[in-house]
Amino acid sequence: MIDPTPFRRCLRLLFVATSLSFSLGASDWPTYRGDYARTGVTVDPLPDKLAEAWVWKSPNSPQPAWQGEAKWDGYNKVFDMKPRQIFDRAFHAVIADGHVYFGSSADDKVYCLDAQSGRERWSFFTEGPVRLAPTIADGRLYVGSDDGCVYCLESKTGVVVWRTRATPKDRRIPGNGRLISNWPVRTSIVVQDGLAITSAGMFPSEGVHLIALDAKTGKERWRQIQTDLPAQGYLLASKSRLYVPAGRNNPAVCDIADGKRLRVVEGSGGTYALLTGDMLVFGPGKTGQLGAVEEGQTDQLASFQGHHMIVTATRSYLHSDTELSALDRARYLEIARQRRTLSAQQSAIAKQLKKLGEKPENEVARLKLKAELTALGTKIDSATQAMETSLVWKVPCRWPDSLVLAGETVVAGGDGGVVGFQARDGSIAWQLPVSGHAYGIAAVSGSLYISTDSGSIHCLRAAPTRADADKNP
Amino acid sequence: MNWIARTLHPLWILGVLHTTAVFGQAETGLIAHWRFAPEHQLGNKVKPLFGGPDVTFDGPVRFTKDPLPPRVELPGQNESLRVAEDLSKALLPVRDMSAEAWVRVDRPMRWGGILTVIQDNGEFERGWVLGFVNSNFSFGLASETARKLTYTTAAAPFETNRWFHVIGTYDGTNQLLYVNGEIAGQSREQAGNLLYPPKAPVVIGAYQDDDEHHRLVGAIHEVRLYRRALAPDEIKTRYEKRRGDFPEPAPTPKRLELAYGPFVDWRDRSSAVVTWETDEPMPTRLELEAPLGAKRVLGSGMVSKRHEVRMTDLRPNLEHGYRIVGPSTDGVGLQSRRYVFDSSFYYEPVIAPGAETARTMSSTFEIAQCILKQTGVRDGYCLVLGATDGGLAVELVRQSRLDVVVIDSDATRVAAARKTLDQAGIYGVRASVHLAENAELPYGDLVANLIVSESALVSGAPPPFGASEVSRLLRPVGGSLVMGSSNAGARSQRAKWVTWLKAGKLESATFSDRDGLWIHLERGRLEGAGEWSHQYGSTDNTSCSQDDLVQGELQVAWWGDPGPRPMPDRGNRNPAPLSVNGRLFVQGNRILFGLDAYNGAILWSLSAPEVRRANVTRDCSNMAAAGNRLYVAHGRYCLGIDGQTGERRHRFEVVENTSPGAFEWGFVAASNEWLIGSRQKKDAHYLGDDGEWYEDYSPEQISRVTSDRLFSLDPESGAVRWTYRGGVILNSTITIADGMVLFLESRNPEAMAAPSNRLSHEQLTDQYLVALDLRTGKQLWDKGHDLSACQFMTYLVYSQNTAIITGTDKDKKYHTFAFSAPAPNRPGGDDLESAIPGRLLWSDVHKEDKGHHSGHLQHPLVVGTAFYSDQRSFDLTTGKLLRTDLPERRGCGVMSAAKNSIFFRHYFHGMWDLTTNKRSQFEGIRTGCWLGLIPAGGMLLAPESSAGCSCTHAIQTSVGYVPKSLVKR
Repeated sequence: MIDPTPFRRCLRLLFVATSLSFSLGASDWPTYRGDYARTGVTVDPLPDKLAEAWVWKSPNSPQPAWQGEAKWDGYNKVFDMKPRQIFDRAFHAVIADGHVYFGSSADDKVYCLDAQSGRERWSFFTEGPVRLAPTIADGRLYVGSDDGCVYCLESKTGVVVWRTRATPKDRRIPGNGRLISNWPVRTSIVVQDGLAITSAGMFPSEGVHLIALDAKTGKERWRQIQTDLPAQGYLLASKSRLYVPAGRNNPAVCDIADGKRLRVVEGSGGTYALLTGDMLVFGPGKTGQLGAVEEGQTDQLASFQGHHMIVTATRSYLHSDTELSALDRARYLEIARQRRTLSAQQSAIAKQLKKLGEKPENEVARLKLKAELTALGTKIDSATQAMETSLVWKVPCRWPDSLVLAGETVVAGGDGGVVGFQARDGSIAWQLPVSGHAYGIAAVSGSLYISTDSGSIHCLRAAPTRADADKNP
Repeated sequence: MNWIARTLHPLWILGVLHTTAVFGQAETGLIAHWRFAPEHQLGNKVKPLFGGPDVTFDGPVRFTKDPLPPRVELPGQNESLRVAEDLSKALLPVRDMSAEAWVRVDRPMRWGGILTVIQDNGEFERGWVLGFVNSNFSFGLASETARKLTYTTAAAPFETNRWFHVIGTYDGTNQLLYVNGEIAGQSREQAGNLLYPPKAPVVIGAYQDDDEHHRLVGAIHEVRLYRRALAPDEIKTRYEKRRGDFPEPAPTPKRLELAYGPFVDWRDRSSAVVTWETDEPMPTRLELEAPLGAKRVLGSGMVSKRHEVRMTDLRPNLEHGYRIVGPSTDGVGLQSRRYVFDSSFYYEPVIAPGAETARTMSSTFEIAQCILKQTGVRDGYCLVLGATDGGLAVELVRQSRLDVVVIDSDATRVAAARKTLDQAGIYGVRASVHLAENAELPYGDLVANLIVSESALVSGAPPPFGASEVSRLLRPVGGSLVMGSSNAGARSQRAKWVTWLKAGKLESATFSDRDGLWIHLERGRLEGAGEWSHQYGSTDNTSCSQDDLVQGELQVAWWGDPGPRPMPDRGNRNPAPLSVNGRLFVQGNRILFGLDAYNGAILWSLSAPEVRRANVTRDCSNMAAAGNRLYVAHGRYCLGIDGQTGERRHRFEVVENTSPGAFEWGFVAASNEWLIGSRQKKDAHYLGDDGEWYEDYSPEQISRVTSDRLFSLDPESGAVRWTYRGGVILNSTITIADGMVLFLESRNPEAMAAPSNRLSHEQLTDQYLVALDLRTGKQLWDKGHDLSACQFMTYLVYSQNTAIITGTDKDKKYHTFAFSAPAPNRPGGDDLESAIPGRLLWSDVHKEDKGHHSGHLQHPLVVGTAFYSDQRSFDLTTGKLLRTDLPERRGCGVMSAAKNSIFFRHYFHGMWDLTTNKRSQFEGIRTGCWLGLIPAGGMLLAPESSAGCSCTHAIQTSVGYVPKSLVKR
C-alpha cells in the first residue's frame, strides 16, 4: 500500500511527535528524508541486529554538480569552509510499496528496484543527470532532470504518464560538464493538493522558474519567475508554504497556493533544510551551523553548531563533524525565544542611543540607555549560558554525512559505514560497513537503504537468525 | 636514540615525582595541571595531575614518550583537545592568571593556540589566548576595562621542532609573556578583571572560536593554569629545573631548492607522476603524507638531475602533502618546502571500458579514427546527427576525450543507441542520446567541437537536420564538421550534399571522394572577436580586448569547473585569466587550467605548486598567451605550454642566471615573434598565502616588485636577442606596443644595489619613463619625471602614441600623467608637440570617487580615444575630462573592456553598455577582487574567482556568456 502523499505522512509524523504516541507505523519513505518537512524520522523501529541484505552498484559513481567550497576565506580567516550545496553526492532512494526508486546523475536514468531482492524492475532514461530523489504519490513517480523536464511515470512500470518541459524554451548548453538545459530541474518535486510543484533554472539572470503542474496531466497551473536567486536542493512544504533552497544562498519562503515570494530568510546559506512545526532549520553556512527561523520571521531564532538535525516532540538531535548530541527541545526553544526578545530590545535601545548623538543635553538619557544596554547584555549572556543546560547527552561521532531517526535509533552515515546510536543515551548499538561516504539514508519497516558516493545502494535489514539459517541452508 | 630513551626514562619518573612534590598540590593558585603522557590517557580523556576537568580529545592525536619527553603529537588536521565545551564549565581565573606550557611547534601559522578561551568575531573580542602569531609566541587577553584583545608578542621568532617553555601572566595591570624563563613581551593596555565571552570553548592545542579553528601542528608536553600571576624569578626557576628534560631538536633539514618543478601529472584516478629537477645530480626521493598522516617515501633515489616518482594509491578528494628529500650530509637532511596535492582536482573524462584493450578493427572503429585524425579534435563536445545504433559514438568516446551527444528524431533508433551506449558503460558520463522534437536542434550556438552523422554513414545522405542549424553549432576556431560515407553508392549523393550545404551557407566545405564521399568543414574565427592575451588585455595594458562582438544583452553559454575549491582566495589580487584562439587559461591556487572558451570543456589541468603570484597590483602577471601557447613564469624559467594539451613543450631560462637559484623570471609577454622576460632576484613576488588584502597603505602591501634585466628571446629557439640593463624596472609598468617596450625604472643607486627586488616607493626614486626598440632592445628615449605621488601603485598604459602613468597617493588621490610616446615609425607629424618623445601632454589629480573596495587601486582602461580611470573618463591625448557619471562599481575588482562595453564587479558580474550607458548585472554570481571578467572571442568569460568569499552569493562557478545578438539559440 503506497502512502497517500509525503505531506500526509508528514502530518502523521507531526501528530506522532506532538502526541508523544509512537504506535503508528510509517511503511513508506515516499520522498527525500521521508516527508516534505524533510524530517528524516520514521517511527518504525530497527531490529537489534542488522546485516546487508543486498547491494546495488552503479557502473559509474554519482556526478555531483558542485565540487565544494573554497578552502579558506583569507580575508576573514575562516578555514574549513563547509560545502553549502550537498544534495547530489549519492543516489538518494525513496521507498514505496515494496520498491526502491532513485535517479542517477551518472547515467541520467530513474531506477526501480525490488526492495526485497534489490533486483532491477525497470529503468527510464531522461535526457540529463537526475540529481534529486523522485517523489512517489498515488502510484506515480515524479522526478526532474537536468534536461529541464518534469516526468511523471507509473511507479510500477516506469511508463510515462506525462512529461512537461519546465520552461517555454528548450535550450541546452554545457552545464557542469554535460549538455543540459539552460534551466535544469534541480529541486525535488512536491506533490500536494493535486499539484506537482518544482522549479527550473540556475542563473537568476536567465530566469529561475518556480512552477506548479497539474499532478495528473502535467499542465501548468502557476508559474513564478525569480530573478535574484537560483533554486537548488530539496523543496520543503507545509500546507500553506513552500520553502525553496537557493544553493549557497538562503531559502525563499513562498505561498504554496500561487508560488508568490513571501520572504527570504536570513542565514549563512545552504541546501540542507528541515521543517519542524512552523520553524525552518537550514544550513550549513560557511562554518557548519544550522539556523532556525520561525514562521513569519526572517531573522534567526537560534543557531546550532552542526549540519544535520532531527527533531521530535521532546528532543532535537544535532549532528556535527565530530559529535552527536541530544537537546531538550522545549527548554532550548523557550530560552532561545527569551534571548531573541532580549536581543531585539538591545537593538532597539542601541538605535535610540545612536539617535541621541553626542549632544551634551542628551547626556542623562544616554546614561540611562547605556545602563539598560548593560543590563540587557548581562541577561543575554545568562540566557546563552542557560541554553547549554538543555543538553541531554553528547557523544563523539565520526560519521558526519547523514542522519535519520528510526524508532529509538539515531542512524548516522559517514565514510565507509553507518552507525546506530541509542536515542536514549547516545550509546552505539551497532555499526556496519558500506562502500564510500553514506550521504543518504532511508528507513522503512525495519530496513535501511544507504546511498553512498560510490554509487551504491546498500539494503540493511534484520540479520538472519539461526532459525532462518536452518530454513535456508 | 633508543638507549637514550631507556636511560632517560627513570629520570623522567624522578622528574615527575619531583615536579609533583614541588609544584603539585601544594602550589598556590594552581587551577589545573595536565600532562600529556600515555599513562594519563584514559579512553578519549586525559586525566589532570591536579585540578580539572579532564581533557577530552578527538581525532588523530598520538600520545607517546618514545623518544622522551612524554607528549601528545598534534598533526593539525581535525583533532581537538577540549578542556570544556564552554567556559562556564571550566574554573577559569577571574583576574590574575598564568597559563604555562611546554610546547613544540612544527609549523608556524597566522593564529596559533596553545591554551585558549576566546571569541574574536569582528569587534567582539573576549577571553585570552596563549599561543603564537606566525613564528612568534604571544599572549593575548581582553579585560573589562579595555574590552578588546591586546597581544604581547615575542620579538624573536621561535624555532620550529624545538621545545619551548611559554608562560603568559596577568595581574590586573601587567600582561607578560615569558619564553624559556625570560620576559619576551609586555603590555599594560589591559586593566581589571578578565573579560570573558558568554560562550567559548576552552581548548588546548588550537586557536578556536565561533568563526575560526586553527590547529597547532607540533606537540604539547604539559599545560598548567593558575589563578595568580607567577613571578619572574619563579618562572625562571621552573624553566631551569625542567629544561634538561627536553632534548635538542634533530638538526633542521637544509632547504632543498629545486631547479625546476615539481609538477604533478595525473596518470589515472589514483596515481600521478611527480617530476622535478635539481641543480646537481643527487639521489632524491618523495616523502608523501597520506591524508591521515602516514608517510611513505617513494622513488628509487637514483643519482640524477632529473627525477620522477609515481604516487600510487591516492585516495580521492583529499589533500596529500609531499616534499622532496635529498641526501643527508653530516647528519643534516635536505628537503624541499612542503607541497600539497589535492586529489579532488581530477578532471579527466571517464575512460570507456574497452578503450585501452585491443579491439577488432571494425569499420566504425576506422571511421572514428579517421575523423579524429583528420580534424585533430580530441576534446569538448561532439554531436552525432542521426543515429543507427550508437556504434559511432562508442568508438569516438573510446578514441578521444570527447563528450558525445547523439540526436535523432526516431524513438526506436534513440532507444537502440541508448542501449548500445549503456551496455558500453559510458551512458551519461561520456555519451548520451537525445530525441529530437522538431527540425530545430535544441543546443546553444558555438557549442560543438565536432559534428558528425551516424545515419549518413549508412545512407550516404545528409542528416535529417538543416545545415543552417548545424552551422550555428560549430565552435569557432577549429570546430569541425565531417560527414559522409564509405559506401559504394555514397558518391551518387553529392548533389544532395551540395544542396544541403548551400542551404546552410556552408559552401566552403570541401569534398573528398577517395573513399566514398566525405564532406569536411572547419569553422574559423569570429569576425570582430578580440583576444585577452595578457594581464590587462594585451601588452599595451589598456584592459581592452578590442572585441567588437561582446555587447548588448548577454546570456549564459556554459558553466562549470573550475569551481571555487582549486582557486586562491578572492582578495589576493591574482593574475587574470587569458583567452586566445578559443581557449581560456585560468590560474588557480598553484594549479593551471586550460579550457575551451566556447563550451567550458576542461582541456587540461596541471598541478604546479611553485606557480603562484599575488598582488599583481604591485607586480605583473606570470602568464601570457600567444597562438597555441601559454607561457608561464616558473622560478628561473618560463614554460611554453601547449594550449590544447597542457604539455610542457618549451622551457626558457632567465638571462644572466649567473648563480643557480639566485634569480627568477619576472615579467612575461609574448607574441608569435618574440618572448619578453625580466630577471629579478629570488623571492620578490607576493604569494598571498596569509589572506592579505593588499588594500592598505603599508610597506608589506604596497612595495613594488621590480626587475634588473629586461630581455627578448626567440620563442622557438630560445636564443637571446637583446638584454637591457638599466635601473630598477617596475614590473607593473612594463608595456609593449607599436614596436616599443615602455616602462618606468628607478635609477636610485640604493634601489639598484638593494638585496631584494621588492622595494618600497621611497626607495624607488629618480624614476624615468624609458622606451626601447622592441626589435633591438636599444633605448629610443627616456624622460625623468617626479612620480613620487604614485604611492599606492604605479600603472602604465599605452595607446595611440600616448603613455599614461597612474597611481594614487596615501590620501587616495589619483595622479595621472600622460606623456607623448610616438611610435618609432610613426608617419609624419613630427612638428607636433605630441611627436616629441616623453613630453608631458596632460596631467590630472583628483580624489578617488568610490571610497571603498579598492576604489583607490583601479587600473585604467582605454576604449577608442577615451581613457577611463577611477570613475571618470578623459580624452586620451588632451586630458579633457569627458565624463564623471560612470556608474558606481561596488565591488573590489577592476574594470575590463571590449569595444562597446565595460565589465566590472558591481554586487555581481557587472556590465556597462557604452552605447546605451546602461548598467546591468548577472545576479547571484560575483568575480574576485582583481580582473576576472574578460571579453574575448565574442564571449564574456568569467572563470570562478570569488573563491573564499564567505558571502552567500548563490552560485560559485566558471561561466561563459555570449551576446544574444551573436546567436540564434
